Amino acid sequence: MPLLRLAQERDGWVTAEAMAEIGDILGLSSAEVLAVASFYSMYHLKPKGRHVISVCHNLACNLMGAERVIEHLEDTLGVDSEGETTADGAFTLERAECLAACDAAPCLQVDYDALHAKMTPESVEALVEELRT
Amino acid sequence: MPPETRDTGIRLTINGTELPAENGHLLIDVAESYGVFVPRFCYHPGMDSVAACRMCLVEVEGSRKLLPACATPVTDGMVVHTDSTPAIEAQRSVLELLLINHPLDCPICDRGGECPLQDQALNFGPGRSRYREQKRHFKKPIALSELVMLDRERCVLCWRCVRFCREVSGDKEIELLDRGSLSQINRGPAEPFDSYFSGNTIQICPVGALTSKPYRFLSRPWDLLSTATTCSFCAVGCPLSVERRGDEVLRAQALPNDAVNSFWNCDKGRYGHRYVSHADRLLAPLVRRRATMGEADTFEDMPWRDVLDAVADKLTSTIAEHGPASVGFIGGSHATNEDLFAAILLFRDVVGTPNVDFRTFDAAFDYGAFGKGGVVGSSSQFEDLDKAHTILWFGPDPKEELPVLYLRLRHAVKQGASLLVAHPRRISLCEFGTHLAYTPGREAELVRGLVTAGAEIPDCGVDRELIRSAGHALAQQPVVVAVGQQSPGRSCPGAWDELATWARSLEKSGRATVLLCVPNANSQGALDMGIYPGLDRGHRPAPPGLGTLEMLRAAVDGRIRFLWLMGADILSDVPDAALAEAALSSGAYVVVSELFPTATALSADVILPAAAFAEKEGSYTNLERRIQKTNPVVSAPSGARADWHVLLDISARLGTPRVWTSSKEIAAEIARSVPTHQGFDWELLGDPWAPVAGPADVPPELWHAAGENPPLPQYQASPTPDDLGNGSLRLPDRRLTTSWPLRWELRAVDATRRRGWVWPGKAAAGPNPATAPSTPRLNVYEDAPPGALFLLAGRAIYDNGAMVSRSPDLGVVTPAPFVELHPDEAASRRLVAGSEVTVSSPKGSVRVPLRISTDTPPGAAAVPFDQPGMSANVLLDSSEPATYVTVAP
Repeated sequence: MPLLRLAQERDGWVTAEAMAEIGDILGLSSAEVLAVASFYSMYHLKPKGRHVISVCHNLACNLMGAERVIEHLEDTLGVDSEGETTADGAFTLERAECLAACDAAPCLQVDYDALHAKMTPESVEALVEELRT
Repeated sequence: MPPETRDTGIRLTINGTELPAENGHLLIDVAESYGVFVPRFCYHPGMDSVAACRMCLVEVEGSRKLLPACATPVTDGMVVHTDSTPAIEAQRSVLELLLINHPLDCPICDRGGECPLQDQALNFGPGRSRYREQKRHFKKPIALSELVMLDRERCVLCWRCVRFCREVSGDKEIELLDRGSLSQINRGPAEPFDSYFSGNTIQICPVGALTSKPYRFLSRPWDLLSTATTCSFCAVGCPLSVERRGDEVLRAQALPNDAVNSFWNCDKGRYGHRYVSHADRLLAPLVRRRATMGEADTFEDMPWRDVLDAVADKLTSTIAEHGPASVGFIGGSHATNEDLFAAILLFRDVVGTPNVDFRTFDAAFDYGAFGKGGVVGSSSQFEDLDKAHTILWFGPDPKEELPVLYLRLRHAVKQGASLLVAHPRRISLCEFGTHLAYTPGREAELVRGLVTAGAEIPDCGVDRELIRSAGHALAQQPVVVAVGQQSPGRSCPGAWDELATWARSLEKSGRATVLLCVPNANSQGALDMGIYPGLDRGHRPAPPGLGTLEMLRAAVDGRIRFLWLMGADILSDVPDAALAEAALSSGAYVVVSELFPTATALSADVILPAAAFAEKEGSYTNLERRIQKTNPVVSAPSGARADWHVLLDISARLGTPRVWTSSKEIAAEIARSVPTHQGFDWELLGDPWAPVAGPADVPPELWHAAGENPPLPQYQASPTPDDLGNGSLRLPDRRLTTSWPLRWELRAVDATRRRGWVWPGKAAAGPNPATAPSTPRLNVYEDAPPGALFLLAGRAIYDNGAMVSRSPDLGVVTPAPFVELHPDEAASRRLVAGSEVTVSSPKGSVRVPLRISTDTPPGAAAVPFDQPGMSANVLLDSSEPATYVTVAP
């Protein structure tokens, strides 16, 4: 699993070549490597955008309007929220489970790192513009 | 096993009846052996239990929860209910759950009609679903390989295919991917699903998720007629069910036999048999018409009667002019024992020639060396491998040549056997065996090292310590020594003599048994029937005669004037193409009995169209000397005739008529006149359709011991042609809920009835069979010309043989030819992987792509023996014990 993370850090996602290489290193078939990689949701098996926006859609965020934020992002970016990437490769939009910031609902995370609190359709559009530059 | 003879270690109660059972056996098996069928998807007796599908939940008194019968060993005093309300309710809800995502597209599914999901849904399911939401969707179907299609929507995630690949074949090319409701079976991004055993996953799939690409939509199962027979390819002899519709073979499936193949077969055996209806089949006898100057010879149709007269006349005149020793017979390793008996009657008894030999590509291998116990053949059986402490493998790559034996060796190692693999290349077995990678050509030195247990170690390229520890492992018992030809054309009589003497001495002291790895379906039968120089029927000594290579040389010299080739394509198979060509153009009269117009047949004077496997009745003897029945499935083309029939006709024309009118009568004569086969009877070969613990085993009062099943929907299977037509499938007269699984999953619990008949090995002890005198040359390696590489040829599972190359489904998976070099050898010659290179020997040269791998040792070049576009035998020189080649851009 650390090798999968290493591969993902290098390429942005886990490529088929990386899985074959990991299989060679560990003496596994690429099918066995894929079985592990596909079990965990944070290994990406498809190319990701330069920025990954993960919007929490659990109870607290949902009550505070997460769906409106997600819908606005889907419209702005022209992608769905099931991990789709924009045509220009800039953004990937996905739904996240609880990010442990219910006091800041609705919240989202950029690149699994920076947490953005109390999002609205307006603030999320500003965020996208800021990330784009 | 009848109940009274069982080990009554414990007693348990199933559905109100107290029954004896053996401690530790799985509840699901024990119940089934008493006729109580517990439904299941994931459980398969050939693999470990995982209890993934939850279908086999039963109630065990004292347990708070229901237990999966497939993962519950029986214990003394256990009280089990398979038909109580909680058990029935559990089974119904599991089925309802499994059907939530199933598309129920049975009308267009190949599995419909022989589908465990369909059958069990009808027998054990609730009959209706409460699920109203969207089903899971996948792209369907996808091709996992050229032979296997996958429909993920139909899959119930039982893991059988994945477990087969992990546990049985070891080709871990398919896996369970993703998680939760998205779980799916698929292959990895890098490797293709090209396992030699991939077809087994289709056969064990309990739904229609995995289907056979060649068989897709060709037939419905109830339109197929199944015949139990024995595979015609290699010497393992897996029992097969060959299924036809009309007069065409559509598919073959493995039948279970614990003693031979467990439950499995290889893809060659599964997909390879449709050659019998290939358009190339010879349909009438053909006779060469010599053309006048400048034109090519032609072949002319001739009625059988006239052809037989002509051949008999030629045979008579040849004997009269040149003596009986000018007649030779080659081939028959794919023919039945009965064909071979007719051949030996004609050639040894009527003609009186000692020149008979079954060997083709193994012509340089000295089987006679292993006849020191009186019998040239195995003293070991496959089941001995499971119990062996140490196995010494000194044979070919079994994954390529004897695929199902490879599975058994893998199983034996899992059981704890230590496997020593003596082979110059890194072959498939090295993955789980200790590789004794001897320098090519130094068999004799390695044998010396092993025989002396490391006390004396001539230089053979293997580390001293490794040989010592191998010697130590071989001192344990029981030991199985497996020997066979490793590289066609290579002869090293000194090595085999020493190995054979050592192995036979171990055998005498009861410490070891020998497995003689003959190659083809009936090579062993040919040895038994005396188709070998110096060896008569029943392994009695015969006057010395010429072997295949000597016969061909004698034909070139003019000493052999009449040559009969029975299914022997010597131009592509004998390890010396130039010699075969010279023999065929030597002016000797050549009669070829063949299925197809092979290059050899087209060089003959007379071509006789033969009946193929699946068109005739007879028996094959596998490499452990187990005789098994082969049965007619379809009718032979009207012009083709069984070999025994033709040979008896020729005998009659030479003045020795025989009254036999069927191969069964010949089998009776074999039992009467061949000493090793006394007591041999087709009736003993068993009924391959014998049902699991059938009515004969379980007394009638026990069939219903478990009580009638509660009011489940009763499903009455409509009779299939199998049940009515050819009588090949015998359904036991029991409740349908216990008998229906036979259709889709024949089990090997009681395999004794289909074991075949292993003839007693020690019967014919006599003087050693005389073999051609040989001069051992131990130090072949020193003879290597500078810069030349030792040629290691090896047969591939899918090759360019007359049968495989005409199997419509195997063409796509047959690999192209290549030459493989060690990286150092490639670098020193500045050769790049993938580039075309020229491999030359003094005899000839071929141009093939280069592969680079450390599997091949330095100093050697490895090639497949016979692939489309390249026959390695053009390089081989049978007058030398080894062939050296150069490899250049």
